[in-house]
Amino acid sequence: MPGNDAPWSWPELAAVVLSRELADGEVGSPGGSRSEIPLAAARLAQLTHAPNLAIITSAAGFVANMVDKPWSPLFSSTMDWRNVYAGTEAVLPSSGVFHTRRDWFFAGALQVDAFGNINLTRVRLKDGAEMQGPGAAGLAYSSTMARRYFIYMHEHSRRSFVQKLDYRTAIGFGDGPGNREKLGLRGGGPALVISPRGVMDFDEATRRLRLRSVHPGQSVQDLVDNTGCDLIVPPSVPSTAEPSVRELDVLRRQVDRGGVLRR
Amino acid sequence: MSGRTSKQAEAADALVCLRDGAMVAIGGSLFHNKPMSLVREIARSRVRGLTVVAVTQASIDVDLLVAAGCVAEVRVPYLGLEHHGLAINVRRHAADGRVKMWDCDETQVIAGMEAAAKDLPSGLTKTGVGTDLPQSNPDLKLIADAITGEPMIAVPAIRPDVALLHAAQGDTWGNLAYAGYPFSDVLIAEATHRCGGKVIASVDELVPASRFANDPFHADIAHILVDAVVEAPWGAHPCSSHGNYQYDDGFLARYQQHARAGEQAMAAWLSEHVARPPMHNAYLDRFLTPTLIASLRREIYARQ
Repeated sequence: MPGNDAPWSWPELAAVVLSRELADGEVGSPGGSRSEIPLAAARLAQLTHAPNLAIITSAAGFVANMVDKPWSPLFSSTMDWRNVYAGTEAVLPSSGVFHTRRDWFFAGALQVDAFGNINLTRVRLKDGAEMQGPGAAGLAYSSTMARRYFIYMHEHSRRSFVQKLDYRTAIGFGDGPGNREKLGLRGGGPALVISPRGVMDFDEATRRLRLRSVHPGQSVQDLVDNTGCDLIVPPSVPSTAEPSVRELDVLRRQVDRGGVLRR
Repeated sequence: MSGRTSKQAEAADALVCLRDGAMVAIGGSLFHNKPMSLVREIARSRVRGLTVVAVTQASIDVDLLVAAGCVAEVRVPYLGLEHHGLAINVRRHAADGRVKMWDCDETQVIAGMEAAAKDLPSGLTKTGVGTDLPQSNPDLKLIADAITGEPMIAVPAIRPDVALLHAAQGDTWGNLAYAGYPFSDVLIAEATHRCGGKVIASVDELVPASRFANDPFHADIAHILVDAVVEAPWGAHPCSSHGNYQYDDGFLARYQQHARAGEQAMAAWLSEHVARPPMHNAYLDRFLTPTLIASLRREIYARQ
């Protein structure tokens, strides 16, 4: 991971950037391999600009809103029983976990390609051996159904941003424009990819990965050099907007008092 | 008139029905509500060639059975120890072909289980259209929907021979109550029961039948779906009994250290934690200290 001299950590920046993507009144699920980041993003959104946003901690069906609720730590597991004290107001039955609409969810991945398709199943190593990943979990489903989703990558390298996936576990824009529509997929596909180097979205016409901003202290050239798939680089790439004083204050006082995102 | 038949059983007796090559469904999810005392009993029994299904996620339960050499096929949508990393033993056994991975998404396993519960040949899902899942798993069939013609995935009914569940409370007739989330255990019991399989539940506490009869809404799973109830206090350890006690994070971390250190270290771990304690009570005496028990309970009721 690139170094960072800023007054915030990379997970804090990721939580703030992602929180800005979430709108009032939406229903969504944090998840993925470091679920503290999206969980913090959703709680931060509730406590700043989206007080009517509902969090479903997917696998345990807890429906939570943190507005005017006591602080609760960011636990590593969204299924953790202690999340019952984290603004939870109702519990969905296990069928309801899958039947309830999602405006957004979060996905981690071993690999991502230029159309936002992701691999969580297995990767091929240099010596030809295959290494087993965690599996699809529910991402093949939610990538089909949810209105949009956010991909966060812990590593931004030519091994993780690849021209061709070793395995397509969940579909983004598939083979390109029109592919989702042709297959009859319900949701709108991936909206954003965030990595320790920058933020990427998808070009509306070509559905290809496009650099939206580089994080403060990172260079466009380094990011491009460490990307193994096609990437649209606009002539001018802004710096990722830093956390505001208020965002950082709410994040540290009301969301992440324990400093999980600073570790 | 003869009396009702008790379903209370010892773990070894309840698991006599488990044959080599059987399909076993394990309830709970990730490291919550896992019937670990039953899992350890199976690992001790040296049953071989099992197909293990989890609805929906698995961790040390399936990884331990794979390490013990009991498993031929894994049908698990997410298999890992979350913040402790991926399932090392499964990864090792998959790499050299000792176990076969049946690639799947949670909703595909659920579709297969729902089909079994309804006694249908297959279930239908949109999940997996446009992915590699139907290529790497030939049981998942890419089909045209009979009504609209749009692409869909058909999943064959998943019919377990044995289901293993863990609940906080049960009674002698087989009624089960959960303290926290029951995850997909009701579906697993329905599917297994419908296709003639055996549903075996471990419970932290065997309570008087009047606890259920006096409040029928207390039961999450009705006794008619359950074949055996095994009293196993702290029977989910090192996993949580959701809402009753927490998972033992330090224990899971030490398990991962041994798994990472290689097959020899893993065999030593299995010998100490699975083979040596001959039954659940001996395991409790060896690995659950009063201090640990207190901390695993405290985390349940202590608001931060």
